[in-house]
Amino acid sequence: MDNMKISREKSNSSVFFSVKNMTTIAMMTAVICVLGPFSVPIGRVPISLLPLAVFLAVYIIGTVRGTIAYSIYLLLGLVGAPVFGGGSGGPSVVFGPTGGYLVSFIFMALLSGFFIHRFYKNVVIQGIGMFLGILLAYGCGTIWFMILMKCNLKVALTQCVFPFIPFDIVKVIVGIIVGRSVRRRLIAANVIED
Amino acid sequence: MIRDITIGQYYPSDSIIHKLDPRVKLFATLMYIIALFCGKGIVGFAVITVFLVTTIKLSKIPFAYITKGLKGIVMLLLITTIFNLFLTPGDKTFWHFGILQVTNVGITNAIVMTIRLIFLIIGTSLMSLTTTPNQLTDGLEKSLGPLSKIHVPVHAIAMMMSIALRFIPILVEETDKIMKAQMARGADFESGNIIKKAKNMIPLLVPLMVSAFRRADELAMAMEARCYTTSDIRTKMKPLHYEKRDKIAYSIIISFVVIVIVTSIVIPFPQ
Repeated sequence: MDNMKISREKSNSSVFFSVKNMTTIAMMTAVICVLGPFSVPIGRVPISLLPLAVFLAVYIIGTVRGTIAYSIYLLLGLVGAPVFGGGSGGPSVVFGPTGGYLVSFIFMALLSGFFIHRFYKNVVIQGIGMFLGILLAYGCGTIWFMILMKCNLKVALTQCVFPFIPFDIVKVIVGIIVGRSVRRRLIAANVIED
Repeated sequence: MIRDITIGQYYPSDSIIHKLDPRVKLFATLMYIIALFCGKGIVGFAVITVFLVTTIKLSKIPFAYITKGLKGIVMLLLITTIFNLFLTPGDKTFWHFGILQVTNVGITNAIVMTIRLIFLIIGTSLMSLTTTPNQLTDGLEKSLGPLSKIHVPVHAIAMMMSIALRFIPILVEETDKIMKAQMARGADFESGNIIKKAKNMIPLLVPLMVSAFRRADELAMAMEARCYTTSDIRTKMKPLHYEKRDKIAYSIIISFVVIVIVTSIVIPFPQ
C-alpha cells in the first residue's frame, strides 16, 4: 500500500515533466532565445521584442509551460548565453540595473497567461490582462532599479518606464494579433492541442 | 541577415580561473555580489578592489575585453549619476541653483553607485568569460541539487537548459531560411506600418513554431527510444570533480566575504 502510494506520487510528480513536455518547453525556450535579442530601433530608443516572445510562448504552450520556458531563458542568459537584448548575456545583465525587469517578466507571463487563457474569447480583457502584466513587471523592475542605482521613484520611472509605455501598448496589440493567429494555425496543423 | 551566434561569451585561455570547477565560480559570483551590496566605506571597497584585480590578473583575460560589458550601461549610469549628484538633499550643501543642489550625501551616493555598478558588471562578467554555458549548466544542476528535496525538478531544469542551448543555432538557421524563402515569394519584412509588420511576422513565426514543435516530438521519441526517463537515478558522462585548487578557492572566497562584512561594520567611513 505504501509502495503503491509512493510510486503514484513519483509518477504524479514526473507526469508534468515528461520527456515530451521537457522537449516542448526546451524548444520554446530556444525560440524565445532566437526572438529575444531582437529590438526595433525607434528614434534612439531600442524597443525590445522580448515581451512579445513571452506573450507568444504563453499563448502557444500555456501559462505554466510558457512561464517555465521564460524562466529557463533567464537561466541561460544568467550562465552567459547571449540571449538578452542586443545579444548580451551573463550575470552582469541579470544583476545589473535593468535585471529587475527581466526577472519580473516571470510574473508578467503568469498574469498575462491567466487572462489570455481564462478569457480567450474576449480580446479586450486579454489586452487588459497583458497590460496589467506589463505594469506588474514595471513595478518589480523599477524597485530593483531604485535599490541598485540609489535614485528616487521619479528618476527611475522617467528613465525606465514612461518612455516605453506607448510601445508596450503596441506590443500588447501585436501580441494579441500574432499570438492568436499563430496559435490558431498551429492547432490547425495539429502541432499543439487546443 | 541574422548574425552568427557563438553561444556564450567564453574567452578561451589557459588560466587557473578557467580550470576551477564551475560550482566554485557560481558560488564566488554569488558571494561577490553579496559582498558588493554589504560593503561600506573605503576599506571595504579597497578589499573588493584587490580581490577583483587579482582575479582578473589570474584569468589572463585582457582588461579591455572585460570592460566591453560596460558599454551597454554607460548612458544609464551617466544619467542616474547626474540625477544623484544634483537632486539629493543632504546636511551640507556645496552649491545650489533652484531645485538643483550638490550635497555631501549626493556626492557620496553618486560615487558609491558608480563604483558598485562598474564592479558588478566587471566581476560578474568574469564568470561567463571563464566558463562555458554547458559547464555552468552542469554547475547549476549540482548547486541546485538540494532543491530536489523540496520537489524542485532540478534535473529536468538542467536538461531543458541543455536542450535549448543545443537548439538555438538550429532555430537561428531555420529562421534565416524561412525568411529567405518567404522573401523569395514576395514577403516584405521591413516596410509598412506596425500592424502590417506584425501580420508579416506570422508567415515567419508559424513555420518556425511548426518546425520547433516537430523537432520537439522527434527528440522526445528518440530520447525515449534510448530509454531516457525522468528518473533521477542516472549516471553522467562528464561528472564534476572538486580538486585541491577548488577547495583553496572556496577558502579564499569565504575569507574575502567575511573580511568585507567585518570591515564594513567596524570601519564604515565615510558613512
